[in-house]
Amino acid sequence: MRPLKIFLFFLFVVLLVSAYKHYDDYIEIDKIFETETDTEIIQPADSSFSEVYDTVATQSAVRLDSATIHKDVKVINDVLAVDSIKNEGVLFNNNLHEFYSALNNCNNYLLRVVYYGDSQIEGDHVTYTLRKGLQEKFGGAGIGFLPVQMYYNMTHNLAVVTNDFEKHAVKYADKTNEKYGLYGQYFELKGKKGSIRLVNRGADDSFRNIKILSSGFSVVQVLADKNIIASDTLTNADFEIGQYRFTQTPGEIRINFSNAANLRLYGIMLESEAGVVVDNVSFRGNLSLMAYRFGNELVQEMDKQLNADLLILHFGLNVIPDKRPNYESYRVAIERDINTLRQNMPSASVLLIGASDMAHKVNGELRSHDNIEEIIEAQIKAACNCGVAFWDMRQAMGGKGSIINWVEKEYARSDYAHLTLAGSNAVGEMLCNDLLTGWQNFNSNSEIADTSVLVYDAINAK
Amino acid sequence: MLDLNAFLDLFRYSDNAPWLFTRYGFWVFFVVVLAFYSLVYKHVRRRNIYLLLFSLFFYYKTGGWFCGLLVFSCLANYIFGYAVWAAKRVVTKKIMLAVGVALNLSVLAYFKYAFFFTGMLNRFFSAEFEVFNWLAHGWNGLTGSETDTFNIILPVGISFFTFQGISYLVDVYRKDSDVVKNVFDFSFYLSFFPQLVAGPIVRASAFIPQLHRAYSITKQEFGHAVFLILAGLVKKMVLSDYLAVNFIDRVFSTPGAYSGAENLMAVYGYALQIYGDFSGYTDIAIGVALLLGFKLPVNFNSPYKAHSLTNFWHRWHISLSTWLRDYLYIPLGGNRKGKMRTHINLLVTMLLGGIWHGANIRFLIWGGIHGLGLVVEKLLTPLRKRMPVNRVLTAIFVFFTFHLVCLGWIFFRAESFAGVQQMFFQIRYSFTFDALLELWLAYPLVFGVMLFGFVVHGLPARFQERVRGLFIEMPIWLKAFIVLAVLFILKFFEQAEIQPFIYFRF
Repeated sequence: MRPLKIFLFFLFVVLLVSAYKHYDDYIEIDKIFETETDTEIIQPADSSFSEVYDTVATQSAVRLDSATIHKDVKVINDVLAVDSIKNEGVLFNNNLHEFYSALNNCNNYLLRVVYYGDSQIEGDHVTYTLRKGLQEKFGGAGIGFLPVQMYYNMTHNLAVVTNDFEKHAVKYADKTNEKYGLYGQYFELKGKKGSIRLVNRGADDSFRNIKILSSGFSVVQVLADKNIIASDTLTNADFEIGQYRFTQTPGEIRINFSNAANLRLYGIMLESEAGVVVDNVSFRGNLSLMAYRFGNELVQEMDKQLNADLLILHFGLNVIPDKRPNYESYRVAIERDINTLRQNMPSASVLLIGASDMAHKVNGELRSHDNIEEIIEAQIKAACNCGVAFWDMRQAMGGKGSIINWVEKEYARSDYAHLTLAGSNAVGEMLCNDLLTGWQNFNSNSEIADTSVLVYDAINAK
Repeated sequence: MLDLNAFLDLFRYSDNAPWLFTRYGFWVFFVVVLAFYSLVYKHVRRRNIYLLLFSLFFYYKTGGWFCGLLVFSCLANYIFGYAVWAAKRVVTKKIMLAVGVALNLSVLAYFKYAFFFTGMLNRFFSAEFEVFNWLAHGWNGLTGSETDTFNIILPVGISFFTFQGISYLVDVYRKDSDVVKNVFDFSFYLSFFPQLVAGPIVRASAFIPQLHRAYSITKQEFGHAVFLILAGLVKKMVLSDYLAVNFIDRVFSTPGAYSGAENLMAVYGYALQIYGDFSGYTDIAIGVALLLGFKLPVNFNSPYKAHSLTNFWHRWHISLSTWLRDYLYIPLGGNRKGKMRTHINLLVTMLLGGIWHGANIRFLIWGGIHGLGLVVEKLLTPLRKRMPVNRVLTAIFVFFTFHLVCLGWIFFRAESFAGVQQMFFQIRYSFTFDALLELWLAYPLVFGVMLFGFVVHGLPARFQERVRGLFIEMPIWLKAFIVLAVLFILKFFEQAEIQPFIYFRF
């Protein structure tokens, strides 16, 4: 066979591919494969809203001038950011006043932050540095909530080992009236006895306190480094907390359950007596929290004993690939979550975290998803309507398209959606920094008046 | 109007758009190579120079200005090869060989292991040595540029052309290969673009005779080449890139966030990914070379069908394993110096093979697993010979070998030791079969692709050959149609990020 023939063969193939690529620039071939709802035209974001948002953000946000701890802020602003608009800090900061006031008193009481999120926070991502930052400033130790299942916390080098419990967590398809409780999940003992082992492989925390959240009956024995430190009986059919103290942070904790009946655990907590603790509660794949499925009475009962001071909601990532004509129903879902949480935990402040940046390839070019702006808009509307604070994570990351830089600098993973440990540490630090700035402004009374009404009006005028 | 700068960009190296076999740019380049090939293919010398120039340009587009290093390597090996051949006395031959090999190894060591060895030195002697890039320093002095002198970037494919250089010098010394008297011919051997950046490692004795052979390719060979290229593209873009981005990378980056089932599937997935990546690349390389009239050695032969580690290394990266055998294991004494020495030689060869993959303890452990595995296998050989040969037993051996190889892959791929530990923890403690089922429902396409990969890999060789034969026998228009159909499917698997071939910087 002569090279000319081979050349003509490949020329034919390459020319056809080139023609296809050219054609593809005009018509997105991907659309052919999209489902009916996806092909509906996506409403472009209203530019007037963006303008209002920018203006109001500038007026209402706490200023970052007293930024103190974040070493990555500079990198993000100088290297990773693509927008000229810098992170504006916590929006509607006045809605966190109760939380800030609690921070001032947490030297003699344990202040609890419950951080709910999707896969973006799995594996103690984001919460690790947020917790560390707050504990450095206000004291406190321990990881807080731990699920009762096989779990290895890499950042803390702490492992939970058990095979005796079955996990039940809130799910979309779930129509039952299960009582999941404050953490949206429970763990049922499979037989009449069982055990949990917690292996501390060098955690830097000096936690002195373990709490077992339960309902049902069981005899409990707690061992720290193989010495029995407590024998107890759990008896409450509704909810109770078994609390046991250590004289020093143990290397291994073993909890044995025996003679059990209907035993459900809602989590284990490792924490201190005072200071701050941040619970990481992740629901992979969730669009929103679905707090209305948690079981209101149980949540109220749990909150009475656990005293949540701040609830953070970090969702939105899973909504991005789910393109819709508008995000009204998503806004309603967030508002339903917030309202349910506040009804069940009236003394807690709420902070809503905006969707992060996420990119995909359009005609061979990496681009931020178009609908993120609308999703963030729906989230801000929900925050306004419910009177809660808002933190724009995408803006903090550096704005539209910043995820591409994050992936390049290994701050985000190659799916252009999830963050690496370095990236989530940076986000945690930025959030911590902004909360501390908000707290400082609250204490110095230097806050600008509440402008959420202004935003609310702007949105409704659209 | 033609944008001059955009046009010139086609000829410049760009960090963001290196030429990979999976990129459109490479195939346009290949069509251009073919366009003028008709003019030169009948004249051997002209053909070799023509392909040499294109190869150097290809390397420049893939690795930037490191093509200077490639030219240096070509010249140095040419001179030493000539000197080995021309020397009259055996001692002089030996000295020339030793200097040539040492030069090759020192270039490799400088670029690849400077940080590793300095780190080790500092750790053991509590010293604070710093690596200084003398090459960049010299370059800065010459050109006034500001290249970072505390950072050494590994040139693309350095191991491959260095190994080929060594193979040439040794082959000339052993008289297994003729000396190449023309510098252009020799440079062409070392820098032939299809195999330049990730192998297969082409032996001087196998390639140099082809330099002087006239061009010839049969219709069957053409069909075979196109089939290999297509299979390579599917392996690289579907089995490797798609699985990596959509599942494997995520699990390996935070193993603790995933269940035991997910971790285990990620390990299996990685076994498929690295196979798809590496063998896909070499399939394309072999196909492209064949279209230009050159035959490269087969590099992979369904490695996960291996029934022992020894058998695995006869099927996996064959050109590297035979290279290690001929230029490392045998010079060390091979199996000629008693059982003990054979075992030590095996272990040393595999440990060095491990460290060749990267300057990291994890690669050393990977080499150790394979080395020890081979030693244990050798010790058990008498026992195994007494066992009956039947399908069930073979299946058990295949299963066991595959899992041992996967154990090695965990160390090979993990991002840190904590990651390895966490992965073992999750697989050991949080594995449930329910989760496995849930996984299938959550990632239907990912696991569909994985199943497809393993099923195709596991098909009997006879069946695979029949499919290949069918394709080869097809009329050319039907071949073109199938090529286009496969490319269309590949578009949907094309991922957001350019995935460099895993073996590129080895």
